[in-house]
Amino acid sequence: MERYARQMILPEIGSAGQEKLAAARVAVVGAGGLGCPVLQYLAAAGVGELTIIDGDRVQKSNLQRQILFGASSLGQNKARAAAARLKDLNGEIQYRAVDGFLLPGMAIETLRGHDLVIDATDNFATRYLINDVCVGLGLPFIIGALDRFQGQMALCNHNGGPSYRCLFPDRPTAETAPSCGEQGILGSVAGLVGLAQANEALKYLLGLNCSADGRLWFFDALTLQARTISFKADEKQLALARENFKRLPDVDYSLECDGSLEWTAGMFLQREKETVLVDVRESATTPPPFPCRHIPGSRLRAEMLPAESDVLLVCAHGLSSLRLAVLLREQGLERVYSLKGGWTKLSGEAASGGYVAANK
Amino acid sequence: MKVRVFGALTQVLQDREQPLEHPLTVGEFMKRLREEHPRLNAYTFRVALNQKMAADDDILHEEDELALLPPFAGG
Repeated sequence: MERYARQMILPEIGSAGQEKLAAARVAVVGAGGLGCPVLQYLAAAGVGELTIIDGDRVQKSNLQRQILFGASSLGQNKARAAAARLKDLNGEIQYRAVDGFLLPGMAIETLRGHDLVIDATDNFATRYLINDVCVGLGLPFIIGALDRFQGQMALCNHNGGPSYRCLFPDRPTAETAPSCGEQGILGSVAGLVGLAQANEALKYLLGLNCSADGRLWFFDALTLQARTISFKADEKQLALARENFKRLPDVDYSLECDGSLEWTAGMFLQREKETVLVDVRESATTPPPFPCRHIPGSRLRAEMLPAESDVLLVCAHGLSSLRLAVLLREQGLERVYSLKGGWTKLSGEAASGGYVAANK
Repeated sequence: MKVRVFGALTQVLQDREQPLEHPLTVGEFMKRLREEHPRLNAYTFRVALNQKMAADDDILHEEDELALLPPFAGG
């Protein structure tokens, strides 16, 4: 117990508190800018079992903020790489790495049995999925999210308290709520918000004052101003979450939430539904690594694409396909997406992940 | 009254001091603000009055702080 001596001196923790932490099971969804500091501090504090869920792979541009990773983790799955690093930081607790994104088809079995879930994701589709599963299973969860120099954090669904849907019932569009990749992020800002999540998690597990329960914490790292805003449970939103939970594999969160106009290569490789793949490069200078249709972007019209299946547009690097996807959405094609990073990214991921092209 | 704007909403309008010449409700004020900044209508956000979620019929006072809070995406 020497490892935990400094925190056990605190009268609020002591040996009884340390036993609570050792008995706790926490799932962290996303091992990125928020997930890394959350995991690092929960592991160091001696939380007994950590489940790490992430289907993404470590890239060099992650290292500036995803502080569990280094040169040796490049190309590796983030959940596995994080677990490997954490085993060295604290080998006295249990880790379970889930190499895959949290998806409606497996979310219930993946999160069931935990005491607390941490939402450290970077998209609304997964955030609303976590919300519905946690409301359905009666699990508290702590959301964290970033917008340039600002962050937000809240403890949701604590003892039947308000959920994330109660706070934000309406989903934003991709243009009005851009990701860190699009608008940039300073690593230390992600760290501050991740640590606020870790701190609330430890307080919850120790049975200390849950000050973020039903309160949204806003923090601006540029001005150092913070606000804590109370919000209430909304029965209609809780009922919607429970309804979604009951028919979960059939709820299409990416459709419901057009915040996710882009698919990552991992999401494509792990997709659960039939997807029409369209190469929109003007000239296919290199052959596409997956079977697909080729329609140059300049000739692509909404009526050429099926409205009833998911359509994924792919170009060389993911820029022109994103512009086309935005235009097609405006023309009423709701299930059109763009592949982030284009063929370049997909070829690399498919090769490193050992995936097989399952459907066309 | 102080109006505080968070996240991506700062691309539409900035923090401001809003003089209140006569009594207004939150709903009335937000209607005017949306007319003045139609781009606000593209955004999802909640309105908080003095650090509590506001109702449309809450009355605004000179010493109040109204905050426009969007959900953030990044992580």
